[in-house]
Amino acid sequence: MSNFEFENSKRPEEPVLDATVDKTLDATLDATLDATLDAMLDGMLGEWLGEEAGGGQGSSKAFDPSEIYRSVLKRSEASVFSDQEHAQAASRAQRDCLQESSPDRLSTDRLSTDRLWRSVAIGASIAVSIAVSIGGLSLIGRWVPRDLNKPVEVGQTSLDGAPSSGPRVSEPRVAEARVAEAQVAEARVAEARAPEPTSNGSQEGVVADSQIADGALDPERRGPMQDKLAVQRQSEKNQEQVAAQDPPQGAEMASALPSAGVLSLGTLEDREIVSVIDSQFQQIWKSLGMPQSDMVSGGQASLKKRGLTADRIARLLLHRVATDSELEAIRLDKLSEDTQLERLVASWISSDEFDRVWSTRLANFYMGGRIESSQQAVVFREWLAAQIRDDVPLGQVQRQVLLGLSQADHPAYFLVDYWSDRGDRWSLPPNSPQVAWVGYGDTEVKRLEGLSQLFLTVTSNPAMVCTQCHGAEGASAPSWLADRAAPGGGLGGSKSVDFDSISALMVGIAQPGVSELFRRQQDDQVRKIAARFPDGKRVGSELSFEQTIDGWLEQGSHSHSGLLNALWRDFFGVGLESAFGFDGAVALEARRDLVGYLGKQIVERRAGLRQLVYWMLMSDPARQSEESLSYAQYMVMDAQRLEDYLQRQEVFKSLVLDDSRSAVRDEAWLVGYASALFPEQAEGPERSFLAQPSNQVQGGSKRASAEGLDLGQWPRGLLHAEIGYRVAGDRARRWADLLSASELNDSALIDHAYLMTKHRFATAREIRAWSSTSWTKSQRSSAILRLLMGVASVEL
Amino acid sequence: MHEDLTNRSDGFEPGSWDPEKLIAEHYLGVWRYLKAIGCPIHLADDLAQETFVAVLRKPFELLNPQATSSYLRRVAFHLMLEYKRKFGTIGLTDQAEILDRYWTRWAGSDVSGDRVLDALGECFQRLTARAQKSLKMRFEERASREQIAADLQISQNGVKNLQQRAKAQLRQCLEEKLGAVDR
Repeated sequence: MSNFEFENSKRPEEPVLDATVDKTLDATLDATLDATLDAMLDGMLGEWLGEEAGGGQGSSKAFDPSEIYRSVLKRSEASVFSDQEHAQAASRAQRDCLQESSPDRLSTDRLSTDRLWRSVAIGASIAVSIAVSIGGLSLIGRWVPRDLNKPVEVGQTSLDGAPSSGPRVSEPRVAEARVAEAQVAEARVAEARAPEPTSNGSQEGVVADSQIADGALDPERRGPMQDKLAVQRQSEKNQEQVAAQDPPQGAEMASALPSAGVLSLGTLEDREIVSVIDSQFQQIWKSLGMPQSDMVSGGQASLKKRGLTADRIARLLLHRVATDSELEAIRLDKLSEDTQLERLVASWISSDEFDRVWSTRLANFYMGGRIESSQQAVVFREWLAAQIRDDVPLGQVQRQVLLGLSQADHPAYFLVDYWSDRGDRWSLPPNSPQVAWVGYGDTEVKRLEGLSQLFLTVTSNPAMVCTQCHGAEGASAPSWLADRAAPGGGLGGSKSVDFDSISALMVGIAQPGVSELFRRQQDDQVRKIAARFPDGKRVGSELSFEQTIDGWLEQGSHSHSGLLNALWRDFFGVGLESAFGFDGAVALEARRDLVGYLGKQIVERRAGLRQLVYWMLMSDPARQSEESLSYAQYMVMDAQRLEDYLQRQEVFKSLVLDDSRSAVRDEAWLVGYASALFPEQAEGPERSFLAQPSNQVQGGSKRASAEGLDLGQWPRGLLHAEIGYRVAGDRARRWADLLSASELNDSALIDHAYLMTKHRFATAREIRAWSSTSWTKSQRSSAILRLLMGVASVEL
Repeated sequence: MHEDLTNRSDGFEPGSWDPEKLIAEHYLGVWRYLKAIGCPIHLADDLAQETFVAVLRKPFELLNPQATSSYLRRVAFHLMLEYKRKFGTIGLTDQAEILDRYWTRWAGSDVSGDRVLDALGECFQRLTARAQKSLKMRFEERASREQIAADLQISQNGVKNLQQRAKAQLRQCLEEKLGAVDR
């Protein structure tokens, strides 16, 4: 039975304040304080209940004074702080104590001088004591302040009696005298802290403080984290951009930008989210029978325990290995491994390089997976990098990109032309019965289709594009499409929302000044197409584009699954969930739930990209052991080991490192890739590549070789495609069967493979590349499944 | 001059400076303090050691354990701030000043911080059996919220609420026993 009176009640209300603003502010502060105190209590409970029993050296149950003493001695040789920083900390502490002392403390010059000499003598005695205790006077130089190594000054003598080369003591200084005075005062009033500090600190100490604040100390070791995280980075440039982009009512938008605060990673909130990710994956791994000991739970584990190395962190965050100089800097640091790694994470995740790398990934998402090097694309990437640097919430970035489509001076505006004209062939044939927009020629259709596709990609509804051909307005979508075509990818949208309704929404962007879109019916009647919100309601003509976008984002505000998946894939190499289910059958629901949860966190916590990447980095999947697996190794695996491997791969237990991001991926490369996936020889039911000559297995096809491919470099993604084919889930197999049963010709099948995996049509060169292989000679459904996985696994 | 200093008779005793003894008496208190103001365990390890490096490089008078403890905590606090300045804010709270006030108030003259943990133990016993079990599963057994929910036959949100209420009660109890802090 509880002794508490308010077992189920909240804590008492704060006194009511007159001013609403004050009340709101107080509530916010209280909530923050409560969360902070909760974390403090967590730590105390952790120690008291034994969580940290085997943890740090300071843990009460693991505390060994001798061991700590030795650690302190070692640390004195290579501290993370400079002597000056140590001295500053001590001086500030002394000043704090002085401020808390009573005003009648002793302050005569004579006393100050006496205390000074005591201080100096104590220092000397400590140095000697330590030197003796560790068996050598040579360590004195490590213990005594650098001041003591200055030449002897007038009236002074060497403490150890050594000539001028030995440790020396300097002339006492005023500051030290004040420090000594402070110590006396502190001793007298140690437990009598005044609530409000006085302001009689040492002048010298104040000067030194400002030196630190100005960055005068050890500037080289001040990591970029300080620049990025400790200082508000809402740059003027960004503000100007936002101001320029804002419509007249843009104050709203500006107010939605991140508040001027400091981004703190590793907060309680972050740990909670990481815990959920871990929990989901533990569930998945358990279902696969993986040992519990292989897991680290709760988002609380240290980086070291997580098995994260500097090299792996660099690869995950920056897509490169750590450089020699970075590793050397780590080696020279004498901090604990965890602290070193945390500093590395802090440094890398806030670096310009991180912004650059991830802005490219983000741009890739908005550009439909294509790499583009035009000047406009570069400007767009730079703009995205600024958003990352300023920790603009991802939801806000999405909104700005969509709104930017209507603003000619916005960096995202180039996407309008890019999506209108990004492939060799984009639109359906002009005479296709599906294209029945009144008054639209091929160019206009192409533009509007592209923009609609862009909108569906950004709002995580790529499968909706299928309704362009399957289930036009008035007709229901085919049953096999119904579960994926709903707006919001699971929001339970209306069937009346189809590709045409999206096109009607984007018509004003495709053709400024036009606000309506008409379709010619089969009976030759013309009917206006209604733009719709995700819930199926019509978009009123009085609403501006911005209001329409806001309505869409509001209704689907937790649906960032497309962006989330793209970033997850960029981080782990495999997405959490694909729109059409080409991600295998293992724990699909658990992964879907996780996508939904993370999307919600992104919105509710106004998380920026760096925060999301941090969650991924700290989660258990990031620490799972990697296996560098060559294609040859893969081919000779016995059946059981192969099965184990595929299951681990399926849930990110391991990552295939057979990846060269620097490979030039042109048509010849794609031909080699496609040919390797569909060899000319007859295939066996399993691992058909075993039948291939070794030179083909190792280096791609002879044709690829003849076309200039590097034989030593296996085409990127081929192994992923093969694995994906082997572990394809039921849904993916059903798609393959459906396509197999259709009367689509080879070219249309390739188109569908791209539509279902890349959410776009295949380009002419892609059709050429795949058509040049022997894929049609294989058993049809198996070949289509392999084609789907092959297309999904490669990016050009 | 050296002789003059060491022969003074106003209470100075070089022999009282035993670094190992200083560490033995105060390390745990400093470490707990650092943890209380938001440092992760490994950083608390590092900064506690750095604290002793700092004070041994710039010695002070050992007048009584309470004064020493108070001084060491302030050194540790400023080293933590310096660490934040140098290396960023990952894993560190912006509320250290408030937490410092809480810990200082709660630890009182106890240099090791045992007083706080003892009080916590007493307060823990006043929680409901379910709340105790929930917290024990979390901190002792490191069970996931899902496991706790299954064991207690409540939802995961229920577990969250139960633990939040329990912690609010613990905090109130600690404030009753050790003193409240003006926010």
